[in-house]
Amino acid sequence: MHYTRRVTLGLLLGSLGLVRVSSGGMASLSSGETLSLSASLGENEWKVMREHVFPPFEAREHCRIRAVNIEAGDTLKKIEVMHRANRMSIDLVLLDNMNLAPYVEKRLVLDLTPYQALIEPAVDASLVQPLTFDGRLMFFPGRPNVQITYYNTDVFSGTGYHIPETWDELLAVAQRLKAAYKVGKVAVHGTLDGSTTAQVFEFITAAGGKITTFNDAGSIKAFTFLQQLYPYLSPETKKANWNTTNTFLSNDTLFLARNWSVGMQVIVQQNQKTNIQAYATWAGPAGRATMIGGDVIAITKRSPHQELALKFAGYFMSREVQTLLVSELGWPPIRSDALGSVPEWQQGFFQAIMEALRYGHYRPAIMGWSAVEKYVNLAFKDIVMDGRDVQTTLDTYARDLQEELDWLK
Amino acid sequence: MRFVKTYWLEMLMVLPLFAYIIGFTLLPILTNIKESFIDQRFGRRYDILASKRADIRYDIAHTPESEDKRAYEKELAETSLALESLQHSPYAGLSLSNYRKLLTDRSFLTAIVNTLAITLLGLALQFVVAMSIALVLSRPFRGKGFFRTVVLTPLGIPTIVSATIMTYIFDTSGYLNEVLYRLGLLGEVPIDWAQGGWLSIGMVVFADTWKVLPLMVLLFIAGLEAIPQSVHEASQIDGSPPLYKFFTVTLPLMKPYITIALILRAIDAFRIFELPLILAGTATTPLISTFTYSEYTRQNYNLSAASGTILTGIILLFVFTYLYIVERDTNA
Amino acid sequence: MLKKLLQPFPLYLSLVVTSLIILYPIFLMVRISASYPADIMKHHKDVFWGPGGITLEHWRNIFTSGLLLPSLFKSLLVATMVMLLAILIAAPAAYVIARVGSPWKYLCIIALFISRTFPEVAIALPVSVVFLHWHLLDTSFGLILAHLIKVLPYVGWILIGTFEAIPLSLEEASSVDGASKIRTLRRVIFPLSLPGVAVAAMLVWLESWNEFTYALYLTVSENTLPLQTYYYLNRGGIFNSAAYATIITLPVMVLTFILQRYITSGMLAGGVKS
Repeated sequence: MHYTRRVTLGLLLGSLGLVRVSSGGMASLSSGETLSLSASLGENEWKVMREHVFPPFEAREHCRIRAVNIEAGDTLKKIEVMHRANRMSIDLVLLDNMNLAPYVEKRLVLDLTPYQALIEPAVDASLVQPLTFDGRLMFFPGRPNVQITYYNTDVFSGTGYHIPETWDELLAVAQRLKAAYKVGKVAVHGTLDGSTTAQVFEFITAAGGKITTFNDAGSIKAFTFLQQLYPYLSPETKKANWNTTNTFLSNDTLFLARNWSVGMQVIVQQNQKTNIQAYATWAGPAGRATMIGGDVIAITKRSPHQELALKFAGYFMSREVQTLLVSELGWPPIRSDALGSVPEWQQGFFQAIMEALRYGHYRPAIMGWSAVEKYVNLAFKDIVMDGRDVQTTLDTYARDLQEELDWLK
Repeated sequence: MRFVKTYWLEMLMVLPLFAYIIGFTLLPILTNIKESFIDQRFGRRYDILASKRADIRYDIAHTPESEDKRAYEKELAETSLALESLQHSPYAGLSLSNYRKLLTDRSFLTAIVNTLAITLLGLALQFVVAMSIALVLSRPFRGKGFFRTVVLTPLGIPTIVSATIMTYIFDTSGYLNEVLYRLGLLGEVPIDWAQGGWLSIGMVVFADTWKVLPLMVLLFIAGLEAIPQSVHEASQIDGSPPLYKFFTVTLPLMKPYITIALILRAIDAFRIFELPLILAGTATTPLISTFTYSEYTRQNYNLSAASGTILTGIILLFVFTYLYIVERDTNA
Repeated sequence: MLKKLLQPFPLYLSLVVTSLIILYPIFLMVRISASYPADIMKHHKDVFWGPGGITLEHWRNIFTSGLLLPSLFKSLLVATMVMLLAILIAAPAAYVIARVGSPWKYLCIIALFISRTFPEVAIALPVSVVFLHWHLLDTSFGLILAHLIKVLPYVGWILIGTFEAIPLSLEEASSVDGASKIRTLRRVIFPLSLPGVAVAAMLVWLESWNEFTYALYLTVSENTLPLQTYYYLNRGGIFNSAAYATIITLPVMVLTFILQRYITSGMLAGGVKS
């Protein structure tokens, strides 16, 4: 009787103790501050960060860096949630630039105008310009990123097939490949989310259109072309996004597809394929166009370690770190004096990336970007996949989009 | 009061459970339902403005006395004004607009059809297979213990893991297509399982059945074991064919177990989430639960709430309809 | 009746085929986690095994990545706490419900039952808002509470069946002997219900270990194992996710193997009798 009583008491106390442990945060292991930062990176990228980028800073500032991976699509929600609860546990965010306006509108990030001096002259000015909102600098440049066209060198050896340099050539190649292999071997990102929007943006811009206008001449040309191209594309287009495309290229489901630069790590390093290479992109009626993605540095407004975060931002933009990022990860640098040496296997890819950046355009940083995305994807499904009439569909959605954008003003 | 005095212990014992359920299930559901009746456009805008106002107030409160607060106060005034005019806009207050929007959305209607198809097809398939296995396992034979363990294995596999594995199998260049190819049933063109329509429904049903079978088998075995031996002996003396006996004797006796199994399964099947999210993707094969999630990720919280409420309604409708039909038969 | 069906050859054939279908996916998962990339990244896959053989490289990778242990620990902590709290909360209530008279019992069972019909996706949103206000977002404690939401009706259901199986006569005998209510509980009910409670506890542990949806909504920085697997899955880390999947599955398979001997199907039928 006493035994069971003691056991129950012990259990209760033990569970209370465990509860205390689990609701407490992580104890700081060093005597200094802890800088918390978040980013959306792959495993090998985190490895480089943890082994090469963080330690010198930690030593210099006598602090500890706590790094958290938050996927790009979740970051806004989570930062917003923490901000509203006044429990900001992230100081610095390496933020995907796909949707920056909400961060400004919802007052989640620190106004960096007083700290402009942290951006050294060697940093490319064109990268800084899109980061100003209403005349105020809200973000620092982090790293630009761009999509390149990957191709299978066994197939595109130059004898049978040539890599397409224009839309017409792209269509022809897709047709020939489908005829030869009975199933399409080229894909665009057709998952009807951000990936699709990014690639449609490239097609529209390469035809001289504006994605927010939605039914201008360029957009009509782009959607018409995609509608023509779709029947010759791989059925995996529906599942092809920034992640699965790498797998499809690796297992020969696709021979030609555009994807982000991270593909080279997954395809060549992880999956150990030696027959994949890349080039910048093809040209549309108005020339070549790519979309500049990548990450920018944001400092949260209610961060408890603002000074330390600012120091880290400066550090990240410094020559030593940018050179490191080039040589370890093949990331294009933000400054002109950070030309590190890229390992040999990466050189072809790196050249393609740098060239693709030259044709780069930014997404418009408007509050209603998620609405634009929604309608672009609806249009893609209706026009490209289901074959509806281009003009009427675009006109309808342009109208709906305008209405929604007006609401969000 | 005497009631409380005699039964204070019992009430104490029941309290935590019901407090929890009321607080964390009932209340969130009611909140959800309330949210669903707020027009999405209004909800979004109100959300942005209200949090902006709260934020400006916070900033004003935390700015040191010496600094200039006029910019903040101007912003505050603007925001408050915007909020005021919003409250008087035609979209304020309760409205059915979210529901109207959903029920005219082609993608959502497809989601409803897909959800119903997957649930009903799945139930049918799981019933047949689970019953067959339960029948086999109710008689002794060599290797029965081993087979029973095998059948119960998927019970232990987490849903995310089973979804992962199923993607390897159902990929266009996945293992199922490979097996079909080697068996000569497929030519060079692989089957695209995730293209939407019946193929994708079949894929999700198969993947779900794989995972869920053990539980149903266990329930049916319980039902079979509950049939007294005397009934079996009596029916054997009878001399009628086995299939006839199965339908007229065994099945009716198992009715309560079948009902429970089907209802429990149906509830879970309607709510199926991780499997279709990973296996089929939300683009081609939307289901109501994945639709709810995608609206949540796009910050359309009111639309998401409406979608979730519709799903709840469908489930409750199904359960009560089934119970009504079953009860009617019993009373007849 | 089943004699015809039980002719050896067709029976064993169908058993073998069914077993293969059931076990193949698991085999695949373990195999992929230990295969060379070149073997898997092919257009025409090897159905059983490829020429390359086994490599432990992926396993080495995940152990050295530093991400495995935190998520493992978190999953372990949450699952164990959920198990303890669920039993603590649900068992007493289940006992009372099992003993209570007809209309109330039916009502309670219906209530438990209905709370299970709501889609998690619909509940997770308001719950995360509430947790936000209570500063519970991204804490293990918050996740524990969230898992309890999912698990309590299920446990209550099973335990009602367990307590119903304990004959009332035993309790009556005990009180005739002069024991107080609490004493009866401790010395009569408690030991008899242990097998059922143990099974329910293990099922709860499994449910929490595998849980995904609430973790998805309520976690910011410290992933649980299923979330971590999802992360790898989303980034094309086929080998990493297969290895993580195997790690998640191992304790589960062990527990299931132990459980399946003790699960008397009667437990799952719960309140069927009523």
